[in-house]
Amino acid sequence: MGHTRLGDIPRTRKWQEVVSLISGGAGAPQVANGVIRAAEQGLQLATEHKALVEAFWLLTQLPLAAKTRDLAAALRERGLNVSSDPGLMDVVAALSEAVDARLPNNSGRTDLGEMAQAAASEAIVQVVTEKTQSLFGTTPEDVKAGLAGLGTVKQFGLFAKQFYARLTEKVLQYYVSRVTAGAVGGQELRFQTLASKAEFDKALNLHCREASKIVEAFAGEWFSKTKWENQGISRDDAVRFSHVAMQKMVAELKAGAR
Amino acid sequence: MTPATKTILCGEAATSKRTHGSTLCLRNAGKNPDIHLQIDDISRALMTNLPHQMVDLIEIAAFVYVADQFFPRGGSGVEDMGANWRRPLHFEIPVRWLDFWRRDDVTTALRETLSFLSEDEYEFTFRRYEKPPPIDGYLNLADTDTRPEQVVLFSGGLDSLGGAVEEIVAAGRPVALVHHQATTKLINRHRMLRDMLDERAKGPRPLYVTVRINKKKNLNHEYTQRTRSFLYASLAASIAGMCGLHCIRFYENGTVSLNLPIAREVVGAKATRTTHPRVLAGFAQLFSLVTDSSFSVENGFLWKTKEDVIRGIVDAGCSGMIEWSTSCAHTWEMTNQHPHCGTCSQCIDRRFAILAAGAGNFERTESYAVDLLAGPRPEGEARTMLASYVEVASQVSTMTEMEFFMRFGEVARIVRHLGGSADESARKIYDLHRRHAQSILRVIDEGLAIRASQVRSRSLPEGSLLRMVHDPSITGAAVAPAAAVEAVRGDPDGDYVLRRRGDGWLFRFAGHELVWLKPMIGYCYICELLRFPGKRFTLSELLIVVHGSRAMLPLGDGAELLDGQARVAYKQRLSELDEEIEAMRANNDLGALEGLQAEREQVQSEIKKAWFRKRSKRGNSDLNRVRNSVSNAIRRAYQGIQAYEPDGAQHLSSTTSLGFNVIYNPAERLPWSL
Repeated sequence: MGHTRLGDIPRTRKWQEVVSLISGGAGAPQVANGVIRAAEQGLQLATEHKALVEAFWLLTQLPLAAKTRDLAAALRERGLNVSSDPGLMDVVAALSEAVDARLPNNSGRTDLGEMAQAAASEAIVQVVTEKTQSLFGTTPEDVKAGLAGLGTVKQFGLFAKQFYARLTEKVLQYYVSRVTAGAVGGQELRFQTLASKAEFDKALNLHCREASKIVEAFAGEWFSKTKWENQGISRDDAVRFSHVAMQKMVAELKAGAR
Repeated sequence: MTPATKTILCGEAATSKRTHGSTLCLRNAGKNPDIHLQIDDISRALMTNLPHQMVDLIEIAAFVYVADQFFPRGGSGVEDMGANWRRPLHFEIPVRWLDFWRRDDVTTALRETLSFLSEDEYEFTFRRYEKPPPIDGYLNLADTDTRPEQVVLFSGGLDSLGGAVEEIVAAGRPVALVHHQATTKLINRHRMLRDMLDERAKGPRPLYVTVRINKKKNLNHEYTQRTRSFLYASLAASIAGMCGLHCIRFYENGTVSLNLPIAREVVGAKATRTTHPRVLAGFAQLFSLVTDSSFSVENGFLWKTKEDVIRGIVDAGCSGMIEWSTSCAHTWEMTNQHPHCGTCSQCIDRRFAILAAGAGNFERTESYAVDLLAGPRPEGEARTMLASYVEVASQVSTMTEMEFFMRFGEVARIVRHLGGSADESARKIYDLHRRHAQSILRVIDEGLAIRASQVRSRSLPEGSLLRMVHDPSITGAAVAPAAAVEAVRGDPDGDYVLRRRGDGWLFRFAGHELVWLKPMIGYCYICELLRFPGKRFTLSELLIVVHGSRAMLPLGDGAELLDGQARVAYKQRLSELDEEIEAMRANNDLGALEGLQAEREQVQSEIKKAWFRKRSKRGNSDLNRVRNSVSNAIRRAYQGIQAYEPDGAQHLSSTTSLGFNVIYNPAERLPWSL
């Protein structure tokens, strides 16, 4: 019963430009540039995606909650339903459920929101396990220490960068994979083998990580300043940040191939 | 933009017989109903135990299932980020037990389960039936005494066959197999499986309950059918309820049940959530409310791969049944010779698992219209699906657990619905997917070994899987980006590049990144200009160099619009008009004066049209048209470059002069590699 549905790229001029870039042999930065130009209108609405804002806001709450004595209670206050001694996957799952709870009955849900939700989960796993170098050996204390460590300008900047790099890659691949996977296996096609396509995907991933550096410094400073001035970070603060961050990312990706 | 709400008026709520716009009327009773549900082979004795709320549940599930197939999900999601994939659906449904269905906990459970299952937005308005259709109208009763101890969903695919074998053959348990007959094409194949299961049953023969939904043909517009499992599960739960049981069981292998996305474009419920643990938990909650008991919905194969399932069938001595099971999603392509298309995700999954389990001998290779390893796949979804499937397996096979969860954030939605701790469930999920990925790669490796000579001689068709994973014509890592393509085909050295590559062009300026430009004739002109900086090209020269013998050269000149004779004539007439105007003014003949002034203005206008900077303009000619054509082509090329390399576009436009003569003349010569 596991039917999966794949989609096409539209036959409009802007999207066919992306198709010709990929089939013609353009590199990852140029493809990213082409995709962003084609998808710009949809992405400008990104700040209105409730799931994206909620996911980012919850990420800002993790280091704040971890600074308190009782992590579990602090997380529950912020809508994350965790056990009294939460493990890493417990926190990740609770965050995902909290985002879902913000969109009851799928109201306002979009694919971008879904990608943001997954990107947030992935970013948490990355930052917490970077120190422990293991997922399954992570104790609740490791989780608390890992999340608390994200509260500095530098570490929150890196955390936000991880989130935006993952989100950006997901968004680009959301479009690009519709073309690249079908462009494998033929002398006339862009990728003669799956290995060459995998190399392209790696290059695109690297490009997203590079591009997301634009968010890093900005996010760290914003987190520290907002937390200090407002005695915390509200959802409205997160909306404003998301708007600026997305604009910066779009501008960076458009400039990427230059 | 939020899609418009679709209203579905069901049963007695369907006051109008006509469906229009975003309103769908579904009548389930009376003459010529839109949908008719039929459940075969229910025992007379069991039927008496079917409470009203169960009948309501079945009807609700049927209405939801039909509406799900009626309203199309919008487009590919590219332009709207999938906003139109999710449909707001508002149902008005008559029920027998209104107080129950209006309870907050019941509507919440119903809405939450369905909204996660199909990613639609659900609203329900319930009203009391005035004259409910009798339940026995849905049933074809049979005289059977079988009292099942377990109710199992049976689709006739490999996983559900594995479950049936485990229950009926291995454990010898009396079971009811609930089966939805979606197409008549499968009747014979299912009958064969039934006969074989009856023959091998260690306990009593199973009870087969076949469900059919007959609906009008004009109700089929959307094939994704995400709510199908809700209908199956509701029917199964009702039958379990009749038998006094509080459990139903799906059998679906873990990787398909969890259904992590096999391609990056697959987001949300584009990967089905038919037996997703959260969905099963939602079903259990809803059925518990309906039956007023603790009801469970299980997946017996959650921690098994499909390969494990097939090994179980073979170990139980039922390998002969494999051939008669059907997994293909593209039932419309099905023929007796090729019951499987070989290209849909289910066919790919099935064939990999069969080969991995060493059960390839138990089904005909020709069962698949396209062979998994060596069959040519056309460009498009067929190739995309396989490439994505194998690529994900390839990635997962080498991932550490951290990398796995850093790649599949979707796991967050699963880990707390499996019992046990979230970390423990995460570990099991990782192990399951690693095993699955490794079995896929093992099949490919074995395929490569068996067909080594065909691979070496490149006699396998293009677009076949083995050709996609290994092409001996490619040396080294064929890195994909333009720069890397160049590395394979001969790298254009230098910081300044404009070179034709395939249909398009490669361009680099001032050592920046190499970019690919789509084909345009303007690049050909620019390339020629760059080859000879400082040289003044006439249009004919440029055309001949670029187009060769096909060049359409300008044939003639439109000549001056005002020649010497015309100029003298106009000048003379103007002088005469001035004198006449003075005379008429003196005589105060206003009528004649007006006429003369009009004529003077007309003459001046003609002179103005033909005169520019003290010279006569030239008439429209081939030369003018060609000049415009070349200039515009070069300007369009600048725009193409501007999008990716604005510095390069600026340099070219500022150093190239266009017109009847074209010249690229930079102050400093740049080392162009052309």
